[in-house]
Amino acid sequence: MLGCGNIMNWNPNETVDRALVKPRLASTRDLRNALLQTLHFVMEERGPYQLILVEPRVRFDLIEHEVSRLKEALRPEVAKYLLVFVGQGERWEAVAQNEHIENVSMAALNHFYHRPKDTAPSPATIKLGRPDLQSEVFRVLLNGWVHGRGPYASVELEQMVGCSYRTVAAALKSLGPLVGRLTDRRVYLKRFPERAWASFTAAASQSRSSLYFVDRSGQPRSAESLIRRLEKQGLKDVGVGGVFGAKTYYPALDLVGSPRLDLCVHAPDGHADVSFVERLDPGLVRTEDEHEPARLVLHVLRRKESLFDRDEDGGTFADPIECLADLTEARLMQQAEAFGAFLQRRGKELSGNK
Amino acid sequence: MGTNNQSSISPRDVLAEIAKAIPQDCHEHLIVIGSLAVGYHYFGGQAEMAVRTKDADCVLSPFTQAVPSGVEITNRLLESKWTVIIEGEWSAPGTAATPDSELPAVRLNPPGNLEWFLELLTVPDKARDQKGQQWTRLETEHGHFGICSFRFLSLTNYEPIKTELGIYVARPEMMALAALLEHPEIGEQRMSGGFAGRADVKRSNKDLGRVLAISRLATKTDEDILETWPAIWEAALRDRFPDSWTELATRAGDGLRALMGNEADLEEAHHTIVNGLLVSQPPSREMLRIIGRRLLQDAIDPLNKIG
Repeated sequence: MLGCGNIMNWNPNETVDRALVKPRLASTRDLRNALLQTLHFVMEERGPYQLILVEPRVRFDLIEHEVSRLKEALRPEVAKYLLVFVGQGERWEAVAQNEHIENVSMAALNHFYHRPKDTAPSPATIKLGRPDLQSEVFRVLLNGWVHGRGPYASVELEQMVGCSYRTVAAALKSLGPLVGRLTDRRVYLKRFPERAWASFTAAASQSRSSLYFVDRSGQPRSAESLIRRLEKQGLKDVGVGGVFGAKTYYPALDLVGSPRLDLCVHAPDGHADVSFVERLDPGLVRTEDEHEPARLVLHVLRRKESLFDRDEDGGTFADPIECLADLTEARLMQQAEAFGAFLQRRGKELSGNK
Repeated sequence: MGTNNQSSISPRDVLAEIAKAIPQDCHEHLIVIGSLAVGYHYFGGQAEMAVRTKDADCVLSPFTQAVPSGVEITNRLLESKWTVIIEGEWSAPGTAATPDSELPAVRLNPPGNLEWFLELLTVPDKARDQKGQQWTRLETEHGHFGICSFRFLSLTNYEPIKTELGIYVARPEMMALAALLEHPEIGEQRMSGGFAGRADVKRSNKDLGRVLAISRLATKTDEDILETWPAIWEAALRDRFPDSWTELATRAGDGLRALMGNEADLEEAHHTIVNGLLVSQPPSREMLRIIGRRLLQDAIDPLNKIG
């Protein structure tokens, strides 16, 4: 009889046929998709098919609710073939049991518990889609303007972003008359590109990859505590962004009402290692539900050079343009406006306003 | 350490009654441990915060004072109409002929109140490297009793906290360390009398559950406090177990890891917490799992490394 079992007894020689395995399912939406996929296989096989959820992020009672609702809508002769198992810790539990579930081997299920760890990429590493390198060129130029750096030769931009000559050329073309060109073909931004910036922030969710984490502990750690724990880890490829990063450039920035921490993760190869989040706080869990208030947001930087700044205490900070983008994305409009105005003043002072 | 048909009681009220009842000169030798001590430490001042427990465990310290203080306290309480709990084979005080291991413990109900009882324990004799539990005889005017000691009770009198009532409460992190060491694995021993409506609760799950409850209460007042525990744990282990402290530091937490890895045991621990120390603010099981992982990361893993 299968209801729950001990994962330590698994036999690697046994396997489960006709199963869809989903490790660390993150949201109800993902669960519904997985159920529909399984249902599709049930119809194809005209027999039992299993959905195996390994350490899902969705609560067991919610899974049970979703499965029961779906089964209510199905014909009984189809519903009975939809088998769902949840593996958590060392136990398995069957969702909405029926007579077919009793025939499933526990040891075989345990095989699946281990398989994702062995064969799939570590869930702590997120594989990212195609980067928007034109946007990276734009942000590198803008960062240069704010800091009084540049002008840049095209090859410098190519190296900083890790892109081709064509990508740089396309990015410069899109900026039009805002780009100044010297006789040696080096380029620079003439002034703060208000419209281009507005376009970038409006489409930032497409050009920047962001991962959202919520607190499940009921005792969320403060952003200050998370920053201190991050510094202890001494990571070179993670920089503090958002309000806390912006404040290092502009100490007068108002911090009130900002419990969320934004971090920039430098991942030029397209794989973001987010295993450090567990060490920041085991209470942080990734979510794709935009209605849940995030305590931590990771923004993945795809360019070759991170342009992170470091302070005397060993703290690592995202560049000010990323911080500004974080403020806008978090809809902290008052802080974004104040910080944006500060950066414009600084850019004018260091790079001019041509 | 007795029965578990818990009542909701105010830690402050119970400690005040104990402090008032025992002789003044015994105050400095009495340390309250267990749920009441934890409750008093974290929400002693809040009258509405109750703890569900039945027993007020009081450790006599140091060992050389345990017998004289134990005798004095027992005599005073019995003269003040406190009553001996009649339980199973221990229905009356022992005599000179009763072997140490068969003596009844000092378990006394306050006058007219069966909601809770006081139990006397003692720290172990420092001169002996005690392994299991040991009984020490108290020859009182009302008969012979025994006071029990366990090896790791010696941690509970490490820098105890003096209350405004004059008696002491053990440091919560020291009670946590004692429980972590007392349970290197999930033992099969069940709670005699069950726990909050369940007959099958393992003692390890109850005691390790309390460690999780202490951690949750501690981080409520200071989110980073768990990071301070390895240093005081190390100091206490070096002081109390100079010959074996590295071995103890290395293995501390093995039982908790076993608990965290077994859903049935974690569920039992959760049952004891939400019906015990955290009855006023019960966490979900997921929250409990998180506090366990935080405790391992911030305090136990660093202590293991020190060892």
